[in-house]
Amino acid sequence: MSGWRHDTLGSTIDRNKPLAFTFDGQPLTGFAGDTVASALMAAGVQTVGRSFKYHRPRGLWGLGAEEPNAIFDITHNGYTRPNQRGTLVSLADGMEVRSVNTAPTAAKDRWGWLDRLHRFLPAGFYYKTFMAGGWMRWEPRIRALAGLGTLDPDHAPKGAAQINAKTPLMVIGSGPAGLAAARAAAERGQAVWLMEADAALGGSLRWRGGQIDGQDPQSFIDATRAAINAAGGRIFTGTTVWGAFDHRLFAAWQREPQRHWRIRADRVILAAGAIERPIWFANNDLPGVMSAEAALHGLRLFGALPGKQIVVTTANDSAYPVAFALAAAGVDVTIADARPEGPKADGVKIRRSATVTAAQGRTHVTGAVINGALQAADAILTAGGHTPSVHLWCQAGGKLDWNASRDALIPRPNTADMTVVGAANGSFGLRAALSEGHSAGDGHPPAPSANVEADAPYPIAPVRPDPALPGRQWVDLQNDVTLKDVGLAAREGFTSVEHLKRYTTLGMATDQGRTSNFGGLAAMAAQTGRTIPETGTTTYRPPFQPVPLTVLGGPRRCELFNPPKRLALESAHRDLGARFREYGGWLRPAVYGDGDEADLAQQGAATARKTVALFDASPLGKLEVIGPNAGQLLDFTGYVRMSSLNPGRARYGFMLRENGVIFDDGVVLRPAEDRWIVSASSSHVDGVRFMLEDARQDRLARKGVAIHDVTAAWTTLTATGPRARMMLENAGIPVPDMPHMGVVETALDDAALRIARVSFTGDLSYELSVPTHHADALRARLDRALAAVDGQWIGLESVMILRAEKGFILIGKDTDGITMPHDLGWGGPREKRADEYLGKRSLFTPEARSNNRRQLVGLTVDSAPLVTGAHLVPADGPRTSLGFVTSSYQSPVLGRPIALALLADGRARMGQTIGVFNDGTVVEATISPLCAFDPGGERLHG
Amino acid sequence: MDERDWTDRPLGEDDVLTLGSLEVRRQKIGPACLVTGDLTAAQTAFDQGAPVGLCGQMTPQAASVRIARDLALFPGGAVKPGWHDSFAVSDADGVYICLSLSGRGAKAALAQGTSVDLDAPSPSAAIQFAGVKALLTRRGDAYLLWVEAPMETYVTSFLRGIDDEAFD
Repeated sequence: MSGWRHDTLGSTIDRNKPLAFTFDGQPLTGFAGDTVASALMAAGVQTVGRSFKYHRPRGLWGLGAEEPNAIFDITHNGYTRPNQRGTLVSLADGMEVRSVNTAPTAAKDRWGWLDRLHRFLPAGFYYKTFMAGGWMRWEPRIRALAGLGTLDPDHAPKGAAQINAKTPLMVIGSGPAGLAAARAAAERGQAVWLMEADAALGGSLRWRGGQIDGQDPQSFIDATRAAINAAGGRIFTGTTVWGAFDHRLFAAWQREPQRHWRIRADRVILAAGAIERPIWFANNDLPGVMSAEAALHGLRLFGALPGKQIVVTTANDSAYPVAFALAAAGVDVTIADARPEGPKADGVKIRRSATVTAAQGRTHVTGAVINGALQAADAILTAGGHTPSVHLWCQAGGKLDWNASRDALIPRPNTADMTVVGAANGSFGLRAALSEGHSAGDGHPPAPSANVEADAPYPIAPVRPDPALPGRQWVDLQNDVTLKDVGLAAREGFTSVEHLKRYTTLGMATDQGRTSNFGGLAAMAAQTGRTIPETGTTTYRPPFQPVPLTVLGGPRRCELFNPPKRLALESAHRDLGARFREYGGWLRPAVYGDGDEADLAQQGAATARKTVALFDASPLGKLEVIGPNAGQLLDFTGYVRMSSLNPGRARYGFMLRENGVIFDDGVVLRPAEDRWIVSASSSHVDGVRFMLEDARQDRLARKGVAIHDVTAAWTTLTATGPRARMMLENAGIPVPDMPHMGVVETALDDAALRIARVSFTGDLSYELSVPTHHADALRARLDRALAAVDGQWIGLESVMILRAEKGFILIGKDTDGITMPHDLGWGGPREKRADEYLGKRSLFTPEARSNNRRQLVGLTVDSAPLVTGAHLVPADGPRTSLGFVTSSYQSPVLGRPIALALLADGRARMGQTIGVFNDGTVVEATISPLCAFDPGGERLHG
Repeated sequence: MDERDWTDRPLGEDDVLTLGSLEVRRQKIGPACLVTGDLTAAQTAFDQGAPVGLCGQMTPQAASVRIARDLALFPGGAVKPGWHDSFAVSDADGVYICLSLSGRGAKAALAQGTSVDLDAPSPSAAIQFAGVKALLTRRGDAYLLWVEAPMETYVTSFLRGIDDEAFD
């Protein structure tokens, strides 16, 4: 393309503000007000990209979201945004623009030779060719070749704000129809949100011009803006409404600043305009072949022209003003009109009943073949009619009807909950657009009047792809689909448009087939002898145009992606040298001190067995169940009866799902006659509460029982070890005589103190719970007493060792999605309870009664600790999985590894040898009881 | 990211975050309790007006917040924990922290945290804010965002990143 910049034309650019940028490393200059695409055209850049499959050179084609070729990775202000359409990005000083899918540049792409193989690479070739040796063999190489832009982690864009909003009326599109609708509604006092994808309001008024109510378009735009602002509305430019969803929810991407809007609109007027169709001829993908509308857009707004000797091929009147404007700018213009008659064309050469059958040139247009004769040209502009932009209409459930006089599929009224006006409704003329918009905005008559050249309706001669023409005719520019590919699909039986799309990839590129779908559908209709309505269209799905993942993802990433809950004493633990990890949704101390984490965990576990250790157990759930029916509720939701628990005592139990599988375990405390506290696992608090609440509402009709999650109201610090009681006494904490599983409520420093003698370590343990605002006082008191008994703070890594030594389970780690309580040796309630409880019936199914269920056992090994997750296999005979290791640690107190495992029929194999398979190696282990330390429980009860 | 790399810290009581046109203040709140059951009876027992719902104005006489159909947060101290004929009471000091959002950016912050229509009345003040459970009431022009205490740091981190000019 021999693009150039006119000396004076260009209504949006500021020639006093030159902007430097680079394209594929080449320094170029544009002006403030340019888009990247217009600056490239004005700078004479011909090849802006390469095609997806054949790597053919491609030039600028369109003017907006439909652009199939000018797709760039753009780095600016420290951020790289991949796959940006040059037609939609405003040029900025210092921009680095790189073509995508090229190496090293669009102009000199080393993969260009692929085009020579085109005969061997028709549509669907990879479905047939790459079966040999398996698709997986070829996939990495094909993936390396395919794709568009490149992610740049060093310059990753920030996540866009996600904003929820509502509006009584949203008008999508600010062309003449949208402006008329918004203005009419605003003048009636309605707060209108006007959404425009381009950087400025006006749509085609900006380059088509004309007069509205006797004034220039800018006056109409200004008046509309003023009316919207006066009515409390809002105007968005550079904002694409990309999706229509249920209940009038719309998603919009605002590009500067980057924001993602989720808008609920009471009413929607769609004025999205239409896109000019191409015309099909041999080599119609050469740089220099572009939309006539885009050329006029470039000329009027930016003073950018695609060439100096231009052929305009058309079959309707809309191309004539383009030709006149180009001629007035000094271009040698020839119109090739397929119709025998058309408007007069002073100042341009015109050829009636003339069609372009081929473009000449190797890397760009050098001539056009018109009715068989070659004419020199450096650009060919095509005006094949218009396709209404009905994507949002169809996404909202709207249907389409074929309108032969407009040669387009247009919205069928009342099939979606929005009003469509203007070119999107097939009303391509200015007068019709203003009238429809004004009416949709409930404006008082009369509608704004218009005066414009070549206004529709005008005679339209349908233009369709002609398979009889020689040479390759491109139907889909971005995905390299030719007319022959459509024919091949038809011959192979892929005659449905949905099959055509998938077989050829027609319309599947990031331009969403805006310029290709109609051509493909028309070609398939011709191939199969059907009409266009009989052939149908593919399904319109969001997004209307590609939306960056950083916009969809929003700001909730990194620290905000899956945030853990935080302990009230986090700062104090950090001061004590804690190193944190996430456990069950909480950020908790893993170990304390410097050095190897595994060593610190061992040291902490050893101290706990020898003297005393303190750990923060606050995340343990505290669900208060209160009321006269509380016991009844807990009996139904629990595997172990709790109503028989005496006040001042605690009991261990399980909660099952309806399928009998263990959902959670924990201790239930009964500190008072009418009050129980369910200590759910820290990660299961919400789940347990929901299950309790379900039963409360469904079974007890909310009568006589309440459930309160007060986990965050209390801080729990646990002292464990043989000197635990001594340390508490040294700390001045009054510990009454209480048995194992005893609970008392008392006071400390005028604050409530609950002491529970329950143990997750198998040693003498006291859980001390105080209101959170007294947590630091308790922590300081305990801390002062700790040194005197040679104790230390321990993190969860040490606690994990201590509980595994005792065979105490972690739900989800030592159980899986099929573990039932009797698999853990807790068969008592199953056998004895006569009343109903959640999950009971599932415990008696044939599967639940099977002798071969996986049961939890201990493993003893002489070697290094086993690998958690390693499979258990027969020591002799064929290798088959009998289960797996669930927990494995080195025990400092035993001086050997310990492990827990789920093993098929495990308890019957006690004492036997089993293989433990991992990474191709099998080691032998002895099946042993769960509890490896203090099996008699002397330390627990001592 | 490394799982140890959570960097932010919770706000102290009366600490203020000024984020453009948004001011976030950690409000001092007194003792609190959760009440489930007959809330009308509880109102009498607590000498309180009806619990406020979504964006309801809080006053000394209307200092309780409705969370669900029969669950509300009441000022603590007036009634002992336990069962009271038709309702239950639990001490809940520290379950929630309260963030006051004020300034021009407050609406923008809320619009980025919740999809709830704040102009539509709801008897319950419960919302999802930035993906976590929260309650939303008002005092004067300020919005009061009640967040479960363990998520306070996350919510303030989220607020630090909001686009306070979204509705300008």
